[in-house]
Amino acid sequence: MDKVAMSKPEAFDPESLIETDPIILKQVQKDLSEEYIRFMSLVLNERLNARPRGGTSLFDHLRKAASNESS
Amino acid sequence: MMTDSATAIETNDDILAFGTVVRRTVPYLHIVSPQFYTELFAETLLRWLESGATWRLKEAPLFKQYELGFTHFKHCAEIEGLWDPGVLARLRDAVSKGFGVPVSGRINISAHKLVAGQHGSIHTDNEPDETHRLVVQLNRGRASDAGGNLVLLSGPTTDDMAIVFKQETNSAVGFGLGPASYHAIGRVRTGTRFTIIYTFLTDAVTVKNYFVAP
Repeated sequence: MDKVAMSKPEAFDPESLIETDPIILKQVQKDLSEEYIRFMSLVLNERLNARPRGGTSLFDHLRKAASNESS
Repeated sequence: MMTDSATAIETNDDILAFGTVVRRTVPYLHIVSPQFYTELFAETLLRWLESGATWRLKEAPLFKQYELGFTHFKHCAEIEGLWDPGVLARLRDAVSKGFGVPVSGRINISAHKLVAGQHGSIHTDNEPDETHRLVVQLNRGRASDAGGNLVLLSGPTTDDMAIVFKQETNSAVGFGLGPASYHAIGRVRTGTRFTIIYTFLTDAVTVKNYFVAP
């Protein structure tokens, strides 16, 4: 049983507060996905650009490797 | 004393409805209520949010929204019922009953305002001094495609989306905060999304930005 009525259960169906329209659900999930990808890109970008003191970032290594390969 | 007591009870009833609360367990323990404030106070508070409030934009990688904390607005007499001790005591007791565990009488009350493009990505709010959160929607009717829905998830990815709440004005959703309390606010597409946020704190909390239920 998913729900436990605390009071007056007959007057209120909690399902009435829950969105069930598949079009809306899909839209919400799409929006969350876009924000999730944007956030993960930010985190990844930050980590790739992080330079240890006196060192080089992962991006620096990648750029150098790419440059060596192309030359 | 009798007069004070009677007045306090009358004040409580003027502010808080919250007579119907249903507990649910999926994706994690939460409570829902169809009417949190009295109709009169919901209207008063919404009008204040729309016109009397001073908002601060808060931007972080995970979210973007306007916020305010009500401890800064104690001078606003028209909404002082929000932090009336009797109201907070009744709220604490009702929330404790709803969750089946006693919650603290130390309660932070804030408001969020989200406009088009603003959102809250998937997060848990697993802070050491915060135990439960209650979110009350206040609006003049939001279309189902207006965005800004409160979402509960069973995990950290969008595939874990479990419940998308409609934005019925004056409805409330409460949930315990912990490592698994994944939730999000969908991106607002149109209009303005107002919510009142009650955060129940532990007794160890040090930042004095809360009200106390006696």
